[in-house]
Amino acid sequence: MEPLLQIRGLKVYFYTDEGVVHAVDGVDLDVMRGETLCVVGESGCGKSTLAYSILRLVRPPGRIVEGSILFDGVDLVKLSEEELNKIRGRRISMIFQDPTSALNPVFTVGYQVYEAIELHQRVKGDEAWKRVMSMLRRVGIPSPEVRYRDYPHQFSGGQRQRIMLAIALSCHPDLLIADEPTTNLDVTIQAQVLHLIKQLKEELGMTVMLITHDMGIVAMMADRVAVMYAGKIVEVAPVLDIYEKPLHPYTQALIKAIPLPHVDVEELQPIPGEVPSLLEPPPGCRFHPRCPYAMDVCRREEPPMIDLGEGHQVACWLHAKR
Amino acid sequence: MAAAPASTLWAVAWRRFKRNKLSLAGLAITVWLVVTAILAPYIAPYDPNKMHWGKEYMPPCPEFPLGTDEMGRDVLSRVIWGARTSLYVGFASVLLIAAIGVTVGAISGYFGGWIDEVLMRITDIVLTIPTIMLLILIASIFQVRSLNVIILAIGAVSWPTIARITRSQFLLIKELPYIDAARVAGLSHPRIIFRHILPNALPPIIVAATFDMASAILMEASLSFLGLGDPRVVSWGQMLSVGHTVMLHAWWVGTFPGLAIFVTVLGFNLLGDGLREALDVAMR
Repeated sequence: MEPLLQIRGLKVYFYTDEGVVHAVDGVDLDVMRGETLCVVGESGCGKSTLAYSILRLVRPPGRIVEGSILFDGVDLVKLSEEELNKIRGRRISMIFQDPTSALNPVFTVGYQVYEAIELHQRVKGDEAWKRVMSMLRRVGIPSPEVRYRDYPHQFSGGQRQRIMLAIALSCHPDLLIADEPTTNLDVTIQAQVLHLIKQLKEELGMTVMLITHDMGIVAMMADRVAVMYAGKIVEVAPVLDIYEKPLHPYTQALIKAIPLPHVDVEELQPIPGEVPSLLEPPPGCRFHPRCPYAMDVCRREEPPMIDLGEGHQVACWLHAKR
Repeated sequence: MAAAPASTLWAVAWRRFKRNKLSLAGLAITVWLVVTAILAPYIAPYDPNKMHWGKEYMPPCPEFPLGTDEMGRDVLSRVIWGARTSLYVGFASVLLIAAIGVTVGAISGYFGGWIDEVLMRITDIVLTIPTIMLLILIASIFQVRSLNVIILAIGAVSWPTIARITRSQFLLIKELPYIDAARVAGLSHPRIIFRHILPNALPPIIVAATFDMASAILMEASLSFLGLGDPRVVSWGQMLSVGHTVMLHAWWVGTFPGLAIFVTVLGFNLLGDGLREALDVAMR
């Protein structure tokens, strides 16, 4: 497998009045062509910022400070806004957490799909409208030839996310970035939308980068998983390995905190301690204040990313060869 | 916080607007004025500039319902034609004000950074200029007394309010996810600004424009009152300027144009208040 997206040494900082927030602090990550990569982590670990920085959507006071994002060999960090606009929507698309506010309230949904198709496929009029209808049908909007005239508020949350998908996928992008696409939806709708993403990925041969905090979604969707903690990637592995032999103490703790039907809620093990402040991340390994195995070296030195073969990498001193 | 969808926004606003009698009165006055201005040649009993010899300072009577002025001209006909001048100045000034204000505010709010700093400091400076002083200055510099110069002058000093409102709207709306979505789709900046943000930013801009209409009309009247207006057109300000000198023996010469100014400004202010209230509620 060859990588479609290669992130190297990426640092995205927010320069706030309280100080510098190290939201993404030196991330290396590959997304392979045709796979679904899940980036998983707690709220505030920087996973959304990572997703936003790929298409350079981070706003001031946030800024990409360092690093490169190679997409098909082109560094997105260095592109001009015009050059980037040719990649946005056409080769890389994105859907967002809140489908309610991700659609413009003053336009009909049909027009919003039409606009994307007109812009990227260079077709107008009847031909473009035909494609709007087929796209809406494809994402499962019932009777699109009637409903295309409706405004976003006339649709349910799940349908809005489907419409977002129609817009995002109207130009058959190579890469779809999905930032917690189902967090605001009911559980049953969640499953339907995820299923749709999976199905469209197969049909269109896309690569998907899915941001989530839900280990259940990871199990359902991922080929590979990247675990993020406090602005850093701490473990990358094929999805089965993450569940069966997690190596990083943080990943192990995450797995133990998954609620399962046959396990009593009392037996769930919450991770002790708190998510560290990204204003002043702890020195050494960022997980050491909460880690049951913390050693001296963990407090002093940042662990390197250790490659254990078979696509399994972990940033932890426990697995360093001494 | 986010603007409600368009179809319902205007429907909700209209339902709300209808319920307020003062707003409806404002709308009625405005419509009445516009109709009067358009139909002036057909409804005015006389040519507004025709001097009826020997009939100067006629008090209101069946022949001249609002009397005649110092040159024997029919006051009613002149008040009717004056509506044209006032509304022309009002609409043209507001178009100019909105064009400058929205452009400055949109660029400022959308791009931020040093562009925003520079544009907002210029806006602050324009705001500190005493409007009427500048208008008098501009009107005196231009030897040609024409309505269009007055409109330019009003536009040049009145845009900061709308610029600030537009900017604050843009600051709010550009952070919303649907603008991120538009950026993700690869839309250009101008397209995002004008197609995607501006329609959502319009309601408070429309309200401000309505109030600006009233103040533009008032400014033209003030300039004309001071003798700096366009002498070739019939203007309520000019009529008032002559009328106030003869108030004691020919009260009708000044009173009716004065009333016309009063009703017009009142009408636009009531309309603006009504729109503000209606759109405020609708946007929640």
